[in-house]
Amino acid sequence: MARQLSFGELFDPDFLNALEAFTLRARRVTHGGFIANQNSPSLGSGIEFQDFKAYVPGDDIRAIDVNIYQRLGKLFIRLFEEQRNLPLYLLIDQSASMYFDDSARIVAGLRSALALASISLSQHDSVGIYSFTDRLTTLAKSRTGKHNLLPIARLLAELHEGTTTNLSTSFQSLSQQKLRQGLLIVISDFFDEEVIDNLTQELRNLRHRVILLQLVKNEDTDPTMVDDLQGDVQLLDCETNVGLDLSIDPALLNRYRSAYREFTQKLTRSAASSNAGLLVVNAEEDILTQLGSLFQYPI
Amino acid sequence: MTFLTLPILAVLAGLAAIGLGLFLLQQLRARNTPVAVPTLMFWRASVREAPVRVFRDRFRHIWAYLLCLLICSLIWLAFSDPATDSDDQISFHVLFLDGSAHTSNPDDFEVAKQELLTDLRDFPEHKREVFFGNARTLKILTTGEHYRIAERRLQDVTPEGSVSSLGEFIRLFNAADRFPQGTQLIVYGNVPVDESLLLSLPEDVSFVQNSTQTGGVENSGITALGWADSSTGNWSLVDVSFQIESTEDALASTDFSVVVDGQEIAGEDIQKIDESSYLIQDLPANGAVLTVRLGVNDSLPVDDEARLQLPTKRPIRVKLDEAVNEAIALAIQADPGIEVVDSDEQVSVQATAVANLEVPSLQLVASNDLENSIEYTYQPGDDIESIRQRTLDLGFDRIESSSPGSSQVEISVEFTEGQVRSISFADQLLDEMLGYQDSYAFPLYIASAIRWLADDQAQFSYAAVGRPLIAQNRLDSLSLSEPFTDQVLGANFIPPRAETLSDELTDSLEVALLSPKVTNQFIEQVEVDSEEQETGVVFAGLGSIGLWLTLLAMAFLAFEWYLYRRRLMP
Repeated sequence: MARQLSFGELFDPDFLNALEAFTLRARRVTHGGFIANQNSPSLGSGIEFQDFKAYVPGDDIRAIDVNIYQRLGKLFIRLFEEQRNLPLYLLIDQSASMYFDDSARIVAGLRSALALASISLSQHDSVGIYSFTDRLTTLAKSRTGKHNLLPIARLLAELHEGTTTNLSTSFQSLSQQKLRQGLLIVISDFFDEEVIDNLTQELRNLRHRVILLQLVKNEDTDPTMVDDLQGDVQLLDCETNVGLDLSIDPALLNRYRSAYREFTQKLTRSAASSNAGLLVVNAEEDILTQLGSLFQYPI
Repeated sequence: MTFLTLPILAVLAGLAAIGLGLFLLQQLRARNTPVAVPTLMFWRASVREAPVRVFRDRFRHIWAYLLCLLICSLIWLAFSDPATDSDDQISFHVLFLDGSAHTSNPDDFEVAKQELLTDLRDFPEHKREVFFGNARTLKILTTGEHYRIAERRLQDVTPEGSVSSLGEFIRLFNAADRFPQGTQLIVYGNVPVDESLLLSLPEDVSFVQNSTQTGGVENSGITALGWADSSTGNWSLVDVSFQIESTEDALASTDFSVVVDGQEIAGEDIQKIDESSYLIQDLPANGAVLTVRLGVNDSLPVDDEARLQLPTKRPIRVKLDEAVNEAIALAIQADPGIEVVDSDEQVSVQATAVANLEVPSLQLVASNDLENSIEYTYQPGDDIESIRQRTLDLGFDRIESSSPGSSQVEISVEFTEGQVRSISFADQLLDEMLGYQDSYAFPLYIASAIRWLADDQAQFSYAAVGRPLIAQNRLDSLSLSEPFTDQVLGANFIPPRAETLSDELTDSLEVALLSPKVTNQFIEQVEVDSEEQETGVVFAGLGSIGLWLTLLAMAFLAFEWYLYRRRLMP
């Protein structure tokens, strides 16, 4: 039976109170940061003056600079930097691996999503919520305004355990949607054996600026922390239920650690080479604390 | 199919136990514990990167190796069944179960047997041997054989009324140097042991006797039984004598009966010769079986009854040639075992050489017609050496010594094979100048020659267990003439037990009495030092080193399992 976490399990009052304080603090420290208001390359009717240009029919007459006309007798209009709200797209992995174990990654993932959505909504940016397993699901296309925080939280709480992970299919589906260019944050454990080698190209195909939020657990790097993972075992993939008979010994554990290290290196290289950001969040630790420290630095 | 050490039920139970054990092992076999993980991608990569197994690599896990080596070594040592040498003096045990008359009481024998089997379990298999001895010694268990084999082999053995073979056993072992250094000889049973026998043991061989005497020591026994020609001179009758010995506490020795072919002989016909000897005169020599039976129940029942087969005595029918030498005729007519007949003769005596003999003959031949003094013609299968010895025994040496012209007389004997037995006797030997026909040996020779020609075999006058067989022919009453015993049953033949003997020359021979030695020694039990008796018990339990090693190995196995479960060893 597909696992689903209740709203109370995900977003308890303590978390919501902490989230509010976190949002206020993030607004201060993230000005000019990764999720601050974004300057548009086009000039328009913003507040910040950018340049002058000679008036041509069709221009907004409200922008004619009267002082220059009085001095030079020619019409110039003021050009202001157009300020647009940057849409935020949250792409959340709801595969079985995210729901695995009691301390499931999905809790940290959904809390991270809500925290990021809260910051974005507080800056009047629109937020789109998507989830994926082996296919993409649209939960909310564009929500703006702080009042949407609670509805988004409810949407997130309705997510339930899916099956397998297929990042490639989900990215393609997302690309096919004519979304305004924005910031795409992919929240996942990225346990997708097929896509990890081609992640760079997959990310480049996206038209958005991308941030990968990798949810990790301590046992990922040290499998000896898992109970019963000793001696002769049959490992069962929680997504596919495929078994693998192994005799756990130190040599095998070393090779596991080496394989995991290589995976994280690939992920890092893919993010760097595709001009994407990579956030590593430990699902077993407090989310807001980790995000708060990350927002202090531009990515 | 038979199983040597276990009954069939035990074998089947063992198979069932093996089946159960294997089932449990099957349950305990390595099973992969299912463990769910978020992804297999890293584990698959780990397996793909596993190095190929190589024969030689850096040696690791030295402590795990040493622990495994220790466990395997313990199991191997346990399998090899080591024994302790805690007593430096004793390294080998020879267990001897007495099954002779001395331990013939069923209760005594059973106790002795069980004591042996109990002690046997405690001795290492490769350091002990088991023998059973009654009249003969039989090896029950050799080194390396499991002790349960001895249980099976001793299951059906019973004591018998015989002399113990312990003395012979020790003598043979000493002669063959069969006692390993530091041997302890443990005798189970009541066989008396002479001090001289103990002294004959090597210095490093110790002796222990586990006596099992449970009953009293009162005993009466028939210690001698024999027959002789009737003192009345009647050839067809014999006199029988027997001897009965008793302990002081035993019942009166006069309580006995004598039965011949089912007919009990009246008491007045039995004469008491001395304190223990009795005589019955003029019994028919018709081959009947005479039984002397004591009417008491004492501690040693096997010597309470004795049997003797009386001889069958018939005169030899001899036909005399009218012209035969007078000395020969007189010798024949004087022999009570010979009947002169005119026809249907068994042997003929000829005054001249006769060709194509139909019956065995004694021929007096002119010296000129004879190359040798005496020429024997024997039938195929006759024992020539025995004939030659008999001839020499019958006084021909005296012919030479008593003859004035002995230097001119050469006694020569020749043996040739033929269809019919005959003896050609040179008339020269009957020359009065030689004096042989007047010697005591002459009638003996004629009698012996007639009996050889008639193929009249020796009969037995006396048989007793443990003593050389005494045979009697018509001329050697109660003698111990070895040639005759050799001819009958072999050199120095000593009947070992009460039984019926037979061979190709005799129909049967009842040997049914015990020797006085057995009867008397049964009374005179040797007291064995009790301190030494306990020596056999001291070693109980020393053979369980293998068990301790096995237990130790099991403990280390459990320890290894604990370490493995705690991930303290690979």
